[in-house]
Amino acid sequence: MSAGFHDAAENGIAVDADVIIVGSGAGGGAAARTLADAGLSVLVLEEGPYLPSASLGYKTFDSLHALMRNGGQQAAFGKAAVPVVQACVVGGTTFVNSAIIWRLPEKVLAKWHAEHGLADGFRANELDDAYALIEKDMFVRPVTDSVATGSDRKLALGAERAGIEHRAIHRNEKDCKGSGRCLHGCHNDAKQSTTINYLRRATESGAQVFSHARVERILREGSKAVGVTGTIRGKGPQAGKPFRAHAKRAVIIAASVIQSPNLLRRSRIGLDNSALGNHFMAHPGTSLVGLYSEPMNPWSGASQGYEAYGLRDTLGVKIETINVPPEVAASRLPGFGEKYLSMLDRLPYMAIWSVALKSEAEGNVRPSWLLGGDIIRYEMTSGDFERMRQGLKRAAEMHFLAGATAVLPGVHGLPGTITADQLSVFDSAPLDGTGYGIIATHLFGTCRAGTDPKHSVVDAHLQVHGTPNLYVMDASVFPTNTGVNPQHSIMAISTMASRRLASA
Amino acid sequence: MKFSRTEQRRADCISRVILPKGALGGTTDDCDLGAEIGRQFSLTPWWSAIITRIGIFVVWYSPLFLLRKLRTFGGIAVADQQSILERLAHSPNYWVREMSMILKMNACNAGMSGEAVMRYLGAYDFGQSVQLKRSRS
Ligand SMILES: Cc1cc2nc3c(=O)[nH]c(=O)nc-3n(C[C@H](O)[C@H](O)[C@H](O)COP(=O)(O)OP(=O)(O)OC[C@H]3O[C@@H](n4cnc5c(N)ncnc54)[C@H](O)[C@@H]3O)c2cc1C
Repeated sequence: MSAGFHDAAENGIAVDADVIIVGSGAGGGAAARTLADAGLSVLVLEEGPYLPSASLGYKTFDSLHALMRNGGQQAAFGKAAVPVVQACVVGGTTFVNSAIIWRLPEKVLAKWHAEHGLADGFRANELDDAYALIEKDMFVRPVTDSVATGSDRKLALGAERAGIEHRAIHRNEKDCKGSGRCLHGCHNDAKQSTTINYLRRATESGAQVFSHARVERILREGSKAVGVTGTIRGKGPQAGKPFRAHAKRAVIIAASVIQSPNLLRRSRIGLDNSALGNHFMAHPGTSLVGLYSEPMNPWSGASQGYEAYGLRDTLGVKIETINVPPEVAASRLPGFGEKYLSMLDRLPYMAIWSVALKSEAEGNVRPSWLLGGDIIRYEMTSGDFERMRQGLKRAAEMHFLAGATAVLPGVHGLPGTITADQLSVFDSAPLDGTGYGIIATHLFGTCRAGTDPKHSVVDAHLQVHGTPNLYVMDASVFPTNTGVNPQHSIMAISTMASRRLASA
Repeated sequence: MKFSRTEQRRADCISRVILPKGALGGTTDDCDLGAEIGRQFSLTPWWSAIITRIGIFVVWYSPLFLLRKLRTFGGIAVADQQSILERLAHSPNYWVREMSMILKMNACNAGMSGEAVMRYLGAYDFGQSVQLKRSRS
């Protein structure tokens, strides 16, 4: 079969290649491009469909159903159910994300070097090199005025007045039209998801990308990985058929923090490894609405345009503007009857900010027959909630400093709306997840990298301990969470490891 | 899973209390909320759909235990319906609150994602409202 994008349900699957990559998101996309550019034959197998921008809708429910794993209904369970949002589509979660780009903070890399023995594999100069390439090729730049929103300007003002460092968000986009619909997939092909950028580049260098190809087992000869088996999904003459593909040089798992460890486990790899599927970490986030007297139109502009990052080192909190579809914003508003109707009338005057936390909690993921195949257990700590409520308080303070007339805390037990003299209500916000509308979008850690084969799943070059030719290249290899948006570091780490693999 | 006709009727009644006719300049009025929620229900994974199903059941019979009236949700005054939803949304029990939140989400997803609402709000590419123009200038 020729290079390019193919629907496995229509055409079946190519049977061998130098390298097989499972998953086409941030990690898989970067690996595919790097290895194809190095002249290797590359086969990318992606469970989800390939969706051109013309096929994308604007209704949230239908978008979640079409693009997200389990229709967006995946959750982590502890005392509360925390939605864990992941895409299942060619491009992976880069297809639906907000395109925010951050390099891995130096402090985090230093910790990985010192505490996880990664100094040899994760070299700062090699990572810098990869970042520079990605930033150039993915058109990374700060949000421009033409797509900045009222909410962005308010966050800049509030953060400035509160003395918290802030900036326009850096995003990977070209000609963003500010249609505020990143979550539905970019209708304008402006966001540089791996689908339209890295995977396309990979196909230009000869890679084959198969959608509707769900990998179920990793094949081994002795201890060495030699291929994969799976089932074709979707609709078409080949749908439902099993497939088998062989890899001469390597099998790379880039199926995400939830699916990668479970794929290893289902393949009976690393079963005695205490790290496999454990150390699940996240940046749980919640949102806070400010009511203004001028229109904000919280569904327009760059989906996320501005950030206050100055509380990262003290509270482990980052505050970002976030624009969401009207039906999503409306479903979080308090009240019923007249109260709710008046809230709906003020919808255009609301600025929504997210408060994302570098949580200290660790959970785990396991395969399951229930809940779509994966079960996630996760419980944030009371320390997390101490910081979460301080983060919310600072964000509310910023809203008022920027001119908000009221703030909607969105926390159980607190008033539905508060004024500037009521900031202290946050001090009594609950210390567990049942009081907040939290969601987790940045995930880490379930195949963590490290030198100790007992307490890490992959080595410093991302090869699975004890399984030659098998690599993991996605966010699951991060030994800690990062405190910043992860796509860029995932792509850089995957690029770096793939370069080494190509030259080995 | 699929809604029964009764569930669809109940979903419509509950959702109309959440999103009453006249909301957002009347742009949600023409939407058959029950049918749309039924469609979404049939596409939702079972573990999530089941919360909707239980939610509809609980709300429907809640006048019995919240108001101590021998009536269902459909048979009480609108003010009582609203107060029931308000009480469930503030329940001390997390799962009851979640259920109530999911019913609100269902109503908003069903009623508010139509073109008429988007045009009214000036959202997306359905024509720019005065508000959107003002905020950009
Ligand atoms: C709503 C949202 C907004 C976000 N915004 C940002 C942002 O602005 N900036 C940022 O840095 N990060 C953001 N993130 C997070 C970021 O997108 C993810 O961290 C990143 O994409 C993870 O990369 P990955 O390679 O680990 O997994 P993914 O990108 O999720 O890719 C994994 C792929 O593997 C496929 N797969 C899984 N199992 C199999 C299998 N068995 N067989 C075949 N294929 C399989 C999946 O379908 C998926 O396509 C956001 C996330 C969400 C949900």
